[in-house]
Amino acid sequence: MVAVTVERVPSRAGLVLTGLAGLVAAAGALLGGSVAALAGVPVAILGVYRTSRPVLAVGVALLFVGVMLAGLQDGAPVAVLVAMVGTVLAWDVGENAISMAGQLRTGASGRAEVVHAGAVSAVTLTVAIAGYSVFLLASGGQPGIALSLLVFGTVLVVLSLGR
Amino acid sequence: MSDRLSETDEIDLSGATLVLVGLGALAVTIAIVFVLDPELAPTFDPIVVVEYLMAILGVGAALGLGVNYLRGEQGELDPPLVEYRSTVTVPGTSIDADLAGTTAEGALGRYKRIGAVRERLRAVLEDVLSRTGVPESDREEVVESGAWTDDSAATGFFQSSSPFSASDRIRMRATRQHPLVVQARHAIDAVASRLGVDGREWTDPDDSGARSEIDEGWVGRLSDVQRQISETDRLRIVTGLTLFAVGTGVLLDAGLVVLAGVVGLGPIALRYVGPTPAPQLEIERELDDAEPDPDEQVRVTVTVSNVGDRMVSDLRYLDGVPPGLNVVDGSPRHGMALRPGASARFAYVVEAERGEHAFEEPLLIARDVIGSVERVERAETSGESSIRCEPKPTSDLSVPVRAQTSRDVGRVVTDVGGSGLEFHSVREYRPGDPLKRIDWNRVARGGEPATMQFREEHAATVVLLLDARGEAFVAPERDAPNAIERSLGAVAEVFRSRLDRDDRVGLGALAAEDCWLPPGAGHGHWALARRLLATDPAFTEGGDGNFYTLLAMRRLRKRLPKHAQLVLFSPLADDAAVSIARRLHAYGYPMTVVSPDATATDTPGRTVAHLERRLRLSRLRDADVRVIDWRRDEPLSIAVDRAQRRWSR
Repeated sequence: MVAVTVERVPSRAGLVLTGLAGLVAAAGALLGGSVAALAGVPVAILGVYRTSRPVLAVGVALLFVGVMLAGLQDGAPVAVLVAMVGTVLAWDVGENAISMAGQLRTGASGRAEVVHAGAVSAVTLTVAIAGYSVFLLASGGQPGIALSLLVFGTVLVVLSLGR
Repeated sequence: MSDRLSETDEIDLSGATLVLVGLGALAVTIAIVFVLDPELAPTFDPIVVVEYLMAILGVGAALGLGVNYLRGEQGELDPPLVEYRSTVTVPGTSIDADLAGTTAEGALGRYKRIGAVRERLRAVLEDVLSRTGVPESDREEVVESGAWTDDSAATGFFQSSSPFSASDRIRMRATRQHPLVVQARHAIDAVASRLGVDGREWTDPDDSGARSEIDEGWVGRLSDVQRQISETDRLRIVTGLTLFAVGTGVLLDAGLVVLAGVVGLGPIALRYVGPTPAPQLEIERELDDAEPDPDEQVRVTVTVSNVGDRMVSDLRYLDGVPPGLNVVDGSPRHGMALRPGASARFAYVVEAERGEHAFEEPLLIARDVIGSVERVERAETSGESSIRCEPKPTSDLSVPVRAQTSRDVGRVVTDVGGSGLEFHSVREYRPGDPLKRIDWNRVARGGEPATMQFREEHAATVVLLLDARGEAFVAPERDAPNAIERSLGAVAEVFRSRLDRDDRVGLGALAAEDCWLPPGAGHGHWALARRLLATDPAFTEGGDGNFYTLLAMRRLRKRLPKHAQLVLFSPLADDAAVSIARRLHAYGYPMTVVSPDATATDTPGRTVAHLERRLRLSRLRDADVRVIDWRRDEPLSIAVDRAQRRWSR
């Protein structure tokens, strides 16, 4: 008898979660006034389906373009934040599904992916809400450059520690 | 190993990192100054320049990170395919790899590899030429001039000039084919045709043949995997998005875009808040049958329990399937997330093969909740740890032996005249000859009394040798039974049937580990042999030790009784097997070689290995060694029958 196949097959949970995250991103971007993000959803799902990180990255990049456009058009701040949360989640969940398919092949398990997605959404949402609160507080007359520098400095510190 | 762990546990701060942190801190300080005193901001020009510089740096870093990550700098572990048996190789696979260029580094390395293939093929070609009627003195010239085949691409492989026109080469470059590789394939095809190997699966020299390696990953053992803690770098894309958003936001003075960038900081920061995963697990393995028959399917059930007091958020478990077994159903891998006290259970099915197969330690890939740190570990298991499978010979099969016997009475009909059943000769009467063997008819006609002689029937001493060197663990396909497996089945049957014919039978292995059962007779002897065949470490897995031909031969000659004849079971996967057989034969131990064919013809490289084996068989026959070429998927009795027709008595 021939041995089992060991193809990289993403779990159904991974596909569904990526699709959901993508839809959240696209919906946020739409509300913010940008249509471009819609194209990213099927590409991201295709990337997970074919377990190809570059394809997933293209999909996420399209979602991100939606976020940027919405942000530059001065859409509703909440919509932009939701779109960005969806974009980050789409990458995180999608990449996790691809990595599971690579290391576990047909043994990939939906449950672990759901747990992962839950934890990441919780953290991302928390940070988004915190960022939004600071944004509300800060837009009370301070120079815009101060806000930008504040954020940029924080980002630089976290990132350089985090590479 | 533990050094490595403690090293990777710490985050080392390099100079570049410190500079970046300093810059960030500076930016934050300036921002706070601006917030406290808004009057300062617009008039302070140098700061604005610095800010723009940092923004551009951020965008650049974002793009760099993304591109590098996607170009394959992922830090996650690629575990081996435990589903497949890792103890077997397919002959000729290395040639295919050389031709495909997967093993070579750089263009020069590739030339060297192809050069090695050329050397090997040239040796085959010269042997083929000498067997197809080209005298030795002309051989060199025939190869150089290309008179041995009509295929100009094939002859060009051994000549210095290229047979391809400029347009051909441009076409090959466009289709990303290496001209030398195309020539090599043509040459292999032409050599095979010259030797008259028909029924090949690979026949079109312009086609590179079936893929020879499993392209879904690498086959190996879990013990080859290093324990380590590593960063997976999977959030680099998120980092890139964050930097890009913040950088562009600052450049274009769009507060919303900067805000969006902040979101990505959540997952990134979590890597520093969360601890490095250190799961405490209890693993139990159960088998539904620890002593199955060959080819029986065994269900393996694994239970993993979290006995620590922390949540195991992402555990990827690979069970240590014995390297010599194939998984035929289910998956030995399982992904799980376990609360403290929870457990997960899964099952898969392996197909039993002869021998004692120990499970390896399972591999654990534990990730933290965000998945940015990956700990690779192996774990202890409880429960059953090996599968033991003994062959059960069924049919009555034998390899014919030669008329070299001991003095003991047996059933091999010899050329020695005496008492027996089959008529041998008549000689003059000598006093003392038994009365019933005197040819009375002749006496009655008035002639001299004469004595009839019959062929005496003696017992043979047969030693069955099994080639179990690392080179002999070969199979025509990854999934097919390997040569040792087939040989062992045959050895068991031949051993018993020769015992049943009152021969004295011994058993020996040509292997890194010593295995020897001196010739003997009787039922107890069979029991001993059976145990050796089923469980001796010399026959299981590819031994790690080295095999020294000279030492082994010396040891064997000391042990072999004087009248012994030998039956060697070997796939003849290398020239050493041939020289061992020829030398033992020359020492006066008549040799019969039973060679299970473990070569295939579905790729160019495998075809070369197939040709080489054929030539080895011919070389054995040249030395008057009897050869039984045991093809794939055929019972040994048919191979014996086919071989016997061409033997002289």
